[in-house]
Amino acid sequence: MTTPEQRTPRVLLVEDEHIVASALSRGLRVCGAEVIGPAATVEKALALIESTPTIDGALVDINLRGIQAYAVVDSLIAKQVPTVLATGYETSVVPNRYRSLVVLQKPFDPADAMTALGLS
Amino acid sequence: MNWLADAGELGRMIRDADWSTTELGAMDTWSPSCQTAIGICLRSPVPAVLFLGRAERLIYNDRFIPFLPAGSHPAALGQPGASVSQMVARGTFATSPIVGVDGVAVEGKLCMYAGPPRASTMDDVHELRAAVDLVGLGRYRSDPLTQAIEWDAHLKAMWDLTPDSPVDLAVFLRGIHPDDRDRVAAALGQSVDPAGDGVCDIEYRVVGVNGGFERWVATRGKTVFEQDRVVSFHGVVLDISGRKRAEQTNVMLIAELQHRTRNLLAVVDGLAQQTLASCKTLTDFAVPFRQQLATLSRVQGLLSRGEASPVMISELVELELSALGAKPDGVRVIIGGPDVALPSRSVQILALGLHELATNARKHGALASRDGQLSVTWTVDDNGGARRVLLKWEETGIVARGASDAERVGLGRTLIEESLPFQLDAETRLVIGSDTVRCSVALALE
Repeated sequence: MTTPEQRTPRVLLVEDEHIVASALSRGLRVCGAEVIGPAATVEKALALIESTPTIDGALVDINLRGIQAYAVVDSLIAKQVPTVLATGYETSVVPNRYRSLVVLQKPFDPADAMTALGLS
Repeated sequence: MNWLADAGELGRMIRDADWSTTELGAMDTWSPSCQTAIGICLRSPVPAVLFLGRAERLIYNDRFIPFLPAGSHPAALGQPGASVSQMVARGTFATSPIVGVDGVAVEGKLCMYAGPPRASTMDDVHELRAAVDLVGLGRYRSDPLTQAIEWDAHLKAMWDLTPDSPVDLAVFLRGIHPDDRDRVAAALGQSVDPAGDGVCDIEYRVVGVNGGFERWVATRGKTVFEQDRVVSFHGVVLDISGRKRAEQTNVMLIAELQHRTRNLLAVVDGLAQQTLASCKTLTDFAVPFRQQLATLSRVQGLLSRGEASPVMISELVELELSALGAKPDGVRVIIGGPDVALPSRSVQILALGLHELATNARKHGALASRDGQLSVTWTVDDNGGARRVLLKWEETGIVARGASDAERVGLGRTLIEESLPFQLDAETRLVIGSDTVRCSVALALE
């Protein structure tokens, strides 16, 4: 029998730079997460959200190949998935309606993302 | 003629001239006051000129020559003054009459240089008008009698109004960007407060009375008070859209630079971890990591040229090969393909991949073998409307040195087989044979 507390938390990773995505995946795994993804585009991220029954948290780079990833964020919020944003820009670029979300400035420690997601 | 001794070049010329044919008569008939005046003129430390007799004949000193119309010296000497009158415009001259010994007869006038021409035309109304037009200033003021607001045609044009349109406060506010109206109204309110300095100095956006455009303007106005009562105000409005655009571009560039820098640091962090994971000891880490940093550094140089000058695939290949001392010679190292501009987001990851391939070729492959040959070629195909480049990296003639396949490709395999497909949707293939290395990359160009 597995209770949610004992189950390995599933974290969706949305990041378009492969070297960064690989390092974050490794870091999240070290922190005890199972990584969903990584997804490099909005479409792939949306498809993963659609096809994954349970997501316990999401780490989303808000700029994917020059396209803003807020469609992904909206979909996660709609499913009440705890979400942390990542960006290379100033955190002030995040629109007001996402102000309640934690924004991490790159580069950051994957452990900080886990803490912000309440999964550490 | 002692009175003409030591009086310069002009002194000699006056002495040698024949004056008897003029109404002044021969020189020995000239009056003492006339001779004295000529002496003063010729020996004057400043430019000086004499107008002598009825015809105001010209006599001048050496220093006056530059004030004559170009080329008219020495012919001007003794000529009637009217024929060379424009020379006075080149300077300001103090004039005094030459009065005869009888104290009555005026024999001429002496003009001494007193300074540069007067700045007479700078404040001329027409010049000011031209200056206002040149700068594109719009002007406004209150009518002292009716207190109505008057705008000039420039200002009306900024608000999208015709020159004969009436204006009032409501029209003024309607032409301002809705987000800026309160701020402008507050600034105006402050400037008509007798407790303040009466100055209005504010920058805001104008959309015009019909909307449809946006320009930035700067206003500077002054309210005049009399016993705490506003008696008039006036001011100017300048279109500063160009400057504002440049400022906004700057802000955007700085944000982009921050974005790039932080992403680059994240990539460096990731590369360090990846490289570290592939090393047995920390000593093994230093060389490849430093080379990766050097590759990133070269790429930044290419990318900083901006969108107008895209990175060509040939220069990226040559750059990464030459960094390891491999120059295309058409025999051992062959590079070739059509001109292809790379999408800017593909440059960095492609450079890292090429660097790893080249490093392996140098350590274990074609560049380390006496008869090895490296060929990097590419073609472009249409692929049903989606243009893509097909890059082939081929090493042949490798003499195996017993290094394992894993050692022989190192990080290259991750970059080629995982990073390029993930990040660029590229199709890649990497095959390590006993004496060959073959890698192909198909990359979309749009």
